Amino acid sequence: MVKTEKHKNDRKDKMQKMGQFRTLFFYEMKKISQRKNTWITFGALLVLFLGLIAGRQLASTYIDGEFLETKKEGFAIDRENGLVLSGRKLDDTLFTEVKNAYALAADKDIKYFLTKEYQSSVRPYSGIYDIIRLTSELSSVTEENFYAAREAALKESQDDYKLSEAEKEYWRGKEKKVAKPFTYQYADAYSYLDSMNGIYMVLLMVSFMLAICMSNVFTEEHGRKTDQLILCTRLGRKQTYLAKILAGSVFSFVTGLLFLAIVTVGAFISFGIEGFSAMLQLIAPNYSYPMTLGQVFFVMAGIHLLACILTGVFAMVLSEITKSSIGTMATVVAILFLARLIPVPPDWRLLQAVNFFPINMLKLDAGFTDMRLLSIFGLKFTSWQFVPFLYIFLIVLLFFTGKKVYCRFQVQGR
Amino acid sequence: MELKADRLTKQYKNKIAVDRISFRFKEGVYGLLGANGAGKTTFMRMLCGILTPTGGEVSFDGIPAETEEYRACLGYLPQDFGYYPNFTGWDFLMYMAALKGISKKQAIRRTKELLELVSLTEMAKKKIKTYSGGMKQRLGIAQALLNDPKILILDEPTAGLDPKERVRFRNLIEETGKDSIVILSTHIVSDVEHIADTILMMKDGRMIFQGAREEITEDLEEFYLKEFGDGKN
Repeated sequence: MVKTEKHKNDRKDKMQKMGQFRTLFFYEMKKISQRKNTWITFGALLVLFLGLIAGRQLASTYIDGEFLETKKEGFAIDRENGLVLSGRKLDDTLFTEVKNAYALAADKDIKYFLTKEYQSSVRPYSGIYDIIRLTSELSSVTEENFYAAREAALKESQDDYKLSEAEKEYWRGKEKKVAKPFTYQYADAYSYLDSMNGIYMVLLMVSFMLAICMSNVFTEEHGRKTDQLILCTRLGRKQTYLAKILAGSVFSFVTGLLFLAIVTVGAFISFGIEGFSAMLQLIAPNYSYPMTLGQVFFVMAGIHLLACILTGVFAMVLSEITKSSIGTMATVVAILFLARLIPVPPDWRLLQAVNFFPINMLKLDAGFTDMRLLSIFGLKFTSWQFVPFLYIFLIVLLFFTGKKVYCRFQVQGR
Repeated sequence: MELKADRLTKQYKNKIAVDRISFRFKEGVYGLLGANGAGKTTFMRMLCGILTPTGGEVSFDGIPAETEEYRACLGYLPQDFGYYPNFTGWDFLMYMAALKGISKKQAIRRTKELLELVSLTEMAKKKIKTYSGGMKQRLGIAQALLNDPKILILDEPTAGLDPKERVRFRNLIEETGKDSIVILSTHIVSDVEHIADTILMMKDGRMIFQGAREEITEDLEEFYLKEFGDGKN
């Protein structure tokens, strides 16, 4: 009887604490959303991304000053052509068709692009031509030398990375699962999203926004001197810290998701939704992991969302440590640039960490396809398999570092 | 009910801001007088648990100042009271109530009561940035009272209040002091003259006088000037 009563009271107490935390979280979200810099940066990014989508749709293509078509019409034609060829194997038959088609355009003036012949006979093969020229010369391409060139490039890449025998064995195993000859599939939307114009661009821009918005979450309290009111209240330490970090993380996640959704929908509007199951090797031929472009999109989206939370938490914690929002903004921006600028020689294992920076991980020709594996407890991870765990670990580490600093803060010297 | 400051000390590099102050506060109103820079704010911050002493300790009925339990008993109005300009008065009090761990139902009731008490009911839904200095100060007083604190610490609370508001404030403090410990710091003697049961005077980080108001037979202002002016203490 007494035990039941105690259980009931504990439950009531727990519910009340949850309710109080929800209220604290709500007000922290309200503080973030009411700041001018949030709305200004949010508005600027919205205009940028919507402008890019609208510009892409509304612009026109001119050949030597002569109107060819609107971009919107061009995307529709390329999609139609691409869908006709979807499912075809990249073999001698297709290569011969492409060579014959492009032979028509050889030595022709640029205005040839405006002709019906180019539009009906050559242009339909432009998607295949784009794949061939990643590794081979169109004039001499055959099924045999196309795949041989790829194999040689893979080997060269493995040597550059100075992969161990175990790593090479791992990649040989993966390579076996890559179906050959490749199957062409129209996938312009996913190619776009997986490239530097897609998720990469979203992360870059959202990181700038988070640097500005999240660096104020704690410093605002010090600047406004509301910290002394908060810190002497019952829930002003641990719970408030948790509410602030959670609100900042949710804001970072939602912002990243929202702009990712805008760019994704924009890509689908321009290029159509097809191509989820297209093989990654169509745009990244020198990578052996058997993945589809749709899977790459989801992996990148996941890394992007985790990276948004990491950037947000990093900005919040750093600003609490330094008590400076300007310094924090500058640091986040400097890291973004430095991570992009530091050259990573493929054989320097220690510098591989530079590729783990979010901005490098979402580059299909850098961090994402880095062939060096990470061995943890005997298990081998590719860089994109490893970084989600790394980011989660860093978020947790930053959380506890910030908690220590926040809870020990002393109001003095005013 | 006893708030105990035991050999409380705060030392910065070359300066002792508070020098081994020991005092036991019981229910009632305490007027803490001292010139600017005497150490009043530092002393009060240590009583609030937002500044860790270099030496000594603070406890309330045996509960140390750095605990959640202690903070649950505390109401504090800092000298330079910060606020969120885009919050309404209502939002601000509801937020402070959440920080103080008050349930939503109780918070709504208390917020209504206190807005009424500090005559801000009509301004409740207006943003704080539109408030006058006096209104902001009254809002600050209201937030300090939200949790019916057993310890109420007010640092220069009458700054920005007009004469009419000062009178209402004094009445409010007198009432609160009947069953709570109210510590009110000021450098304006008349603020504590009529409401403080006990007068404390600080100079250069030390408590130079402590005694019941009735013990001071002469005019408090003159007494204060004498204590501070002749330098004997």
